[in-house]
Amino acid sequence: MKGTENSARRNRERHMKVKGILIDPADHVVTLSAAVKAGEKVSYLKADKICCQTAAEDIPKYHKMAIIHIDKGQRIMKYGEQIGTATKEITAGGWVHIHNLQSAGLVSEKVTEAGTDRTICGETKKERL
Amino acid sequence: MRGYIRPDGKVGIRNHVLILPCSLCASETARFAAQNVKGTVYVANQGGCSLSRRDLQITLETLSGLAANPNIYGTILVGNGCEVVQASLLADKIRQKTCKPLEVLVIREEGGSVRTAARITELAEKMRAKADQVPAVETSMDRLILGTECGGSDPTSGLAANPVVGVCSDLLVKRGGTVILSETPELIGTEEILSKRCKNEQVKERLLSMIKAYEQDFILVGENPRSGNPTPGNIAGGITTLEEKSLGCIHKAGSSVIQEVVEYGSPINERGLVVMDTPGQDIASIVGMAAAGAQMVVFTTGHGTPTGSGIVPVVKLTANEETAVLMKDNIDFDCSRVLTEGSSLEAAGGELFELIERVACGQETKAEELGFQDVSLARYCNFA
Repeated sequence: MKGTENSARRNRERHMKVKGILIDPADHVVTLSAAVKAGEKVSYLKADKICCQTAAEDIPKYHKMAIIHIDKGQRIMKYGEQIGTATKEITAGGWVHIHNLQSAGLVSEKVTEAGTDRTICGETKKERL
Repeated sequence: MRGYIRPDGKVGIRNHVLILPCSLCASETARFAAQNVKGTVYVANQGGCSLSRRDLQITLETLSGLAANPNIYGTILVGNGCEVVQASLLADKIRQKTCKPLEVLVIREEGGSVRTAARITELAEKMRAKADQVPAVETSMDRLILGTECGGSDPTSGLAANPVVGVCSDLLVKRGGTVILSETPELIGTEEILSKRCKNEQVKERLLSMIKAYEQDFILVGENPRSGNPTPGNIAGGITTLEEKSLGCIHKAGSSVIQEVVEYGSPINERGLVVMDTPGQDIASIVGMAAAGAQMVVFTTGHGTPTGSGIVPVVKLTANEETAVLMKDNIDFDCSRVLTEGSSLEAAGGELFELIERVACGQETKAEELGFQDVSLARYCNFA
């Protein structure tokens, strides 16, 4: 019983630092189990090793933080799968959400001189400027 | 696993006598009788009449499947007499699926509700006594069909609870058991990902057409399931895209190869990971999986949901530490330490598997202790 308590305490202590949850080793983002402030160091477990990334901005609880630099147009991985495409360049430690990540296959926008081509489920609709 | 071997060769982990009304008109009479006999379960049937042809087919498949579920020793079928789901029609369908004990009563022919209830009570007591003679024998986990479900989801569901179930699902498939992934609307957006996991082209085609058909049905009534998802609440909670939301959901089925795609409530033929076409309504989805022969369902929740089934034990887990405390009457497994203490998903998934083994050996779930018997059947059209 004492062993269990010690192990729980060790886990808790370790978790004081571990705020990022990396679901799959291939992921580009971690999900935060608590809100973080810009400049705060966020630890996460990768294959049982503790890794660290400094938050580049304030990020709310349960939201995603990039753990690598992501270029505009690059696919973003979570759960070991693509969850969408970056619509802007994202620095490591940046907040990843609707302002810089968009669904990949489902909605794609192509801005042309004539207006915006919005493709939803394979059907292209033109929206005039 | 401790099982009851049925005459049709299947293995149950519970040994219930089922009182099954054919329609809502027979439901209250059946309920009255079910309350009289300890050890019976009852299906509160809200349908069974004024059905379109397609809904009649769904209802027959589902109700017969519940009677054929391996957790059921035998069934007392109760009709009113004039409903679309005629007792004789449903009895035939049950007999096509199983050779287990079946009694059939019609309220009008018995001479009203009081006489029928007395007759059901008499038959149920006899059937219960015979059921008690069936021994529970040691059997292996490869006979288990485990349904997976999520409901009352919050950010902790996709982040921890569903991945924990995913670990457990993979363990069961490795042991030779079967796992069902359900809820077609939550598969929308994961077509490419799931396609890669199908065992062959035929299964892939079946899966894609199932998801497309579900989406088309929504579009027919002027809804677009993609445009409403993720919901504003999901986005506030940190979910950005539909793929991300759906991935969080499908994670509970683990990472195995998809062996088969089956219709709502239809029997499962393959072992390993199977996908069933069920609606997003949790209880209807659980009933569909029970009708397909699942002996147990594992259910992840964020906000906490009290649901239980008379046919199958429903093991409920949460990764939300507040829910685990507030809803302790309802939650069987608390995996919030994945988020609060940084414990690994693998360790929590292993513990969940051990719990499932204990439930398969007879340990009651919280919903079983409470006697909860939620029922909802999927349907397609409004009442005719």
